[in-house]
Amino acid sequence: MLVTKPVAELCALLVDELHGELPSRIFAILVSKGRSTVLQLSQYTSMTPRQVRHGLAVLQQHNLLYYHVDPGSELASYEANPENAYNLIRTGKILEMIDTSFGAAAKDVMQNLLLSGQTRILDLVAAYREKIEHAAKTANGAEDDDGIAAETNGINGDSHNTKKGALVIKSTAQLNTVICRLVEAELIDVVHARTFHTSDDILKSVEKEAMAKQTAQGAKGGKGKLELQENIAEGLRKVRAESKSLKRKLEQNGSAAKRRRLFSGLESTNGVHEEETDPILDPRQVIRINYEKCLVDLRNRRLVQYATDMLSETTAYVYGVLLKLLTKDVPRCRADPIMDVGEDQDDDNDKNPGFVTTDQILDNLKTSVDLSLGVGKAEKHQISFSAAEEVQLYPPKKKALIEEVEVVGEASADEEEDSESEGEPDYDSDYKDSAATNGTHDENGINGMNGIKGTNGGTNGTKVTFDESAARKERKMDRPTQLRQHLLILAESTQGFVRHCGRNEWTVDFVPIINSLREVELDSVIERTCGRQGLRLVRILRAKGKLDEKALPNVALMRKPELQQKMLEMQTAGFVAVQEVPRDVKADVKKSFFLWFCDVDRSLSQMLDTSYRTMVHCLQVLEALRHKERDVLETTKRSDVRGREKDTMRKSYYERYSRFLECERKLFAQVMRVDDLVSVLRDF
Amino acid sequence: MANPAKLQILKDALYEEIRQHGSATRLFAQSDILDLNIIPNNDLELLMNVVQGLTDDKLLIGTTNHHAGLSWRWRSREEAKKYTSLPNDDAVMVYAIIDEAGADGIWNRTIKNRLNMHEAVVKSTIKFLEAKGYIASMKNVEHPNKKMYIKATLRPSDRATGGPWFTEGELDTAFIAELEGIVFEYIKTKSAYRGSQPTGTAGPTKTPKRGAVTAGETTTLARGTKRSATEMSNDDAAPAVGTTRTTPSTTTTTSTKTRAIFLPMPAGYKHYPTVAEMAKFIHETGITNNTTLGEADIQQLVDVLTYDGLIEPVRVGRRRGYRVARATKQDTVPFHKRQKEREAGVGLNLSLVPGAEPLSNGLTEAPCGRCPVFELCEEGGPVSPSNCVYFLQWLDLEDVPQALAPNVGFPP
Amino acid sequence: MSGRGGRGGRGRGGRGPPTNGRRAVAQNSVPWAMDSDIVLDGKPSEQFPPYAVPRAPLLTKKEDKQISYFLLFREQCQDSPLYTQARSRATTSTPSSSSPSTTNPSGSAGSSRTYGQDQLNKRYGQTTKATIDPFTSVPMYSHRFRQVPRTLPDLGARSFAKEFFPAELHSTLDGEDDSGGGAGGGMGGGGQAAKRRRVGPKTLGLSSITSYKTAEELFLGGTGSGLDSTTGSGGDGHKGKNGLNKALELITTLEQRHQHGEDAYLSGEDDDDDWVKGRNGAGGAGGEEGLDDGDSNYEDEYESGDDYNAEAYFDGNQDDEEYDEGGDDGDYL
Repeated sequence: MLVTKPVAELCALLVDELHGELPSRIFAILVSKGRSTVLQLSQYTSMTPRQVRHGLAVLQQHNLLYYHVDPGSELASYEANPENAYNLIRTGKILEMIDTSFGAAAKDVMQNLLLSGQTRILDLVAAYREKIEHAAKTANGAEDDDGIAAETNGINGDSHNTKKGALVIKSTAQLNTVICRLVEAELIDVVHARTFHTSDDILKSVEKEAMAKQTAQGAKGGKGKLELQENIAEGLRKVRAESKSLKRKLEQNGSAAKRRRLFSGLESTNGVHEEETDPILDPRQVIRINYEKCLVDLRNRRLVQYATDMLSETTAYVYGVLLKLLTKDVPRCRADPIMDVGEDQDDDNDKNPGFVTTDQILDNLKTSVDLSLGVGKAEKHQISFSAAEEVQLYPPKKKALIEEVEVVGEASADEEEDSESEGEPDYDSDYKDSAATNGTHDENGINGMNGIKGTNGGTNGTKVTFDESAARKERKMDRPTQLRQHLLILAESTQGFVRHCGRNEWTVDFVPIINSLREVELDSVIERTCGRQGLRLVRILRAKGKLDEKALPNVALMRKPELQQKMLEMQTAGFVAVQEVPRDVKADVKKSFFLWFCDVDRSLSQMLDTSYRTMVHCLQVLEALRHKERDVLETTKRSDVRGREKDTMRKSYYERYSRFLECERKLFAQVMRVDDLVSVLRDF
Repeated sequence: MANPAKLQILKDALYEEIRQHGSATRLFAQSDILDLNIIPNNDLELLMNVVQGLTDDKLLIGTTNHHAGLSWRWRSREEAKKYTSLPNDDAVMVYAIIDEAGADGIWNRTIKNRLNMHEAVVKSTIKFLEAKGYIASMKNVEHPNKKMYIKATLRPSDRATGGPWFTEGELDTAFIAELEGIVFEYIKTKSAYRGSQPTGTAGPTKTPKRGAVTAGETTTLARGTKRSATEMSNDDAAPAVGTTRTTPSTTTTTSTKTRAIFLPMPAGYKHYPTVAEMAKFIHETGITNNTTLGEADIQQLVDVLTYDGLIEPVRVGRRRGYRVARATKQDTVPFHKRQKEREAGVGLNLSLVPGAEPLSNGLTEAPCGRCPVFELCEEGGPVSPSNCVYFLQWLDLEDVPQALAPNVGFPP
Repeated sequence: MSGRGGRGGRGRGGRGPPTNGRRAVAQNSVPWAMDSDIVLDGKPSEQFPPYAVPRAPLLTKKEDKQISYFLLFREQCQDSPLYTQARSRATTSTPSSSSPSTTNPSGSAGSSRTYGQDQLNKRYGQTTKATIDPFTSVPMYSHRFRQVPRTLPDLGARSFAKEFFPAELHSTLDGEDDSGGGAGGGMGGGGQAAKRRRVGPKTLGLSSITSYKTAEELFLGGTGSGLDSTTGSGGDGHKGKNGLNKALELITTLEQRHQHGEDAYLSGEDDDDDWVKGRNGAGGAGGEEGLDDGDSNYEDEYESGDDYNAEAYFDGNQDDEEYDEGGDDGDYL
């Protein structure tokens, strides 16, 4: 992560928002000054060392620091961890994601873990125990707690109404189970001795060790160099694996899959039957959130959204299931250049997500989902099965950024051409003479509206509701075939959501799909900024490379002056650039070529920078609003007002307060949306 | 030998024979003419006389060609008559050079330079020729500011006019836009399945469907059977196409539970429309009454639609077709119908261009994304987030705060 | 075209002196020569040129949830003992931000540009005696309800996994880092580190804030749907449950933070009608007061907020004062 000025500013603002001014100031200084000691920090900030130490302690507790202590020295030098500071803005998303896929209890645990920073399991359990005991004590006197009954529905919708007061975690055993689940999902990992070393420090020490080993063995030359590289990668992997020690221990205790199924989000809330089966975790372990894995899950969700935008919701749902299965053991979005290039195979999951079979997907689909939705109907003879089912063993070699036209260009040319060509152009007849092939499909041609699915009332408010179709009798295809249809659509898509990597085996090539997603994000910014014609011109340049200004109007079918104006507009916006190529020494403008081109990578990095700055601006606007409404806000913080603003505040104050809250929501929402973009551009 | 009558007969015979053997652009070398067996005994001198005579009559045009040496082309008698009817050499020379330029036309400055004539002479000659109806002025799209001339009988070449997309030297963007709409509509209906979906499944991100929900028995394009009143009244305002084929919307929505939606076709679908099919379709509709659009022209149009991100090429087997992008997000009401509605004042908030609403993201929705002073904006500067008026507007705080209704905001 | 113009890189290439050819060309190849619609005026552009600001998008259900979670999380963070509430930055929180160095010409909240760490540091620590507004800083009744910001995190309240902190922070984590400077430390003596000011085991308290109110909930507050209302002490009707839960939380808090008899404050008359209209029972209010006491410190409210000699203050109070950090406001300069 490149820490530019806006990033630094953003991180400081986020730390300020969540942990207060003191840590924020120290954090900002650490970002700008680099590695510093307490005394240096005190000097930089004109604060007392005592203040600095307090601030550092808070930062350290919340995983926002790296530090380094030289052997034999008392003094530590500290460094900021901007990744984690940035991740603070993702808190809402991560919690919502955990709530949706693991249930309210897991969300509660994660929230408390985030709140307290790195925490010993012991302490977390004690805190929960205290809360549970209190609840038990008071529950006796009160009427029966039906809040708990409502809790089982928690994952289905807003847990707003269910979480009031009612305990989500009802026993320490349940807590243990939840932690186990999160550890297994790698969303929580273990803090170890080197967690707070910067990657540079770790690399250095590992290098040192490897060198020492090497000199002892005395290997030299090119082979030795290679070996050293491998040893270093090996060493680094070992360090990285330390944070997964808890997970490994759990796995040794029996297959996780046996104990529970990954997809049954419902089980977590009434985890009674699981209590016995989960091993009790070592209470001395210190755990914290693992953002890397959270990002993998967030990436899955973004890709599902992408598929929804491009295809249909049902197909996107299938995609989501596929992704979840596929990335179960994918620890991070991007492979590490040093650690993950080594060729040793012991954990090849890092490099290759493997594949998922059709049956696996089928097993994990919700039974309530109607797979007949979201796909058009066509007669058998209208479909080329050889083309649809084509297996692609290897990921695409070309960068997807070039242009879709070319990506699609390669297809099975040599396969059964006759079957394709037989049904050539005559489309008027296509939809009529279908009776011959399949009598039952008669009405289901493109004219048929038989596919109407009646709504059924039982739609529950999950993210996407799929109706169990009333038209079940009408369904001609069996479920596996329907599933295949969705998978094949994903595989055939221009975006390349899925690769059919073997008979009934599916995988996702994340690099190209994320590249195409980036391009889509860029395109929507271009289209929203410079209109559809602007987008057209950029995509022409992307497809054709550098293009003479004179050649453009003809390709784009645009008038010259309009086109030139558009190009200038886009040049100003940084989407395109121009190169002047003089034809002779005189460099007469009239005779020179003006070659337009677009540099996608540059545009993307510019967009990233704009995103950071937009986020900073949103937070600064919020700060300005707070300043403007400070008298109101101070009032609401008063102890006699808090919690019953409605009753105690003057009407005008109250209205101002509620308007402020609305603005605050809007601004944070915007920051989070921009973060969606940043994730795509930087992290996925 | 020099019998004028005989010479005339030979001339006529040779001229007719030459015309039999090729078009006005074919070059005939000396040997070619001899091989026609008109000139007795291959008498070269006679040949020379005959050819000279024809050239004088402007029926043959002599040219020198690098490969074949001296050679000739024929010219029609009417054309030749025009030459011979011209009063003076100046007029002949000017007319000849314009004739030579053919369908591309020629710039008047070029005429002047090549003939080395005085400008006034060229001007008056051109004026004379124009008045006689022999030549006409024209515009060349490549040089819009140059005054060009062309033989009145010729139509300017595609290169000069810019092809079918130009009208009087100007790119006819209205025509292009209209055709784009038609081609897009065609691809949309041919490459996606028009089905229906329970309304309950509308995702949270979806913009609410505006306008009437059409329950769709009318799936493929029904050809001009029924028209709504609004369409009728606007017939003259819009070019023919839109009105000839419209989908009558059954406003009596029988079931409110479903809505029409386009769905992607199953993988391996073999009937995504090709350019050839589109060209055929366009030809059959007769929209382009006086311009003929070849497949190459349609391909150009389709490419533009592809660059616009509205459609995408698909190759199934050897067949290269096109399908609509983001099928489920497309409007099920045909674009032309939307245009009609717009003219009638309905649905003015809908997009002016065919295709689905462009995607948006956090940047495009924030005031900063397209902010004109973004580069200047900085805390402490004259333009800063804390005094940003755009943000106030965005947050609905721009006006007197008190006047604001408290419940503008978020869905529950 | 003056001589100056020739030197600056004009035009696309910008190399060498301008030639005649170059200038002549500009006439029909620049866009404003070809497009008559473009009007060039020499006026400086407006500060905020007119621009179609996009509409703020509506939130999807999922996003709404995410933001609620985030805001709840933030509330909990700010309620946690590790949060430093105090704002010493003059421009943002001090009511008396009229000091000329910090307000910018437009009079808005934005801080002026800084050109160095010194300047930046000066922005902070503005909440001193000198900047206090003489009108609002007089002790007033309503001040009793104002929270006293904590200037340093209350680290002593909970336990830490100390092995993952550098050794130099360990005493800080124990809440025993009184004065790192040493100069003032003499007053406390060396034995201070050994003192345990806290009784009972340290626990990691879970936040008592369990919901975050949206603007709508605030407005609908009358129906009791979303509001954590504490009116009444858990007796009547549908509000009962909320009240009960709140009461439970209060008990928790009360027990967690071994609290002094601060209730004295509550005995005051309700003479400020605007603010306390809705209060109807001393019992409910008392509980609430307790809650807020958890993270505030009344003793310091007026006297020590700007006290420079923090250590002296602290030492003088330590016997009856458990939140030692409260006395350190003066450090934060």
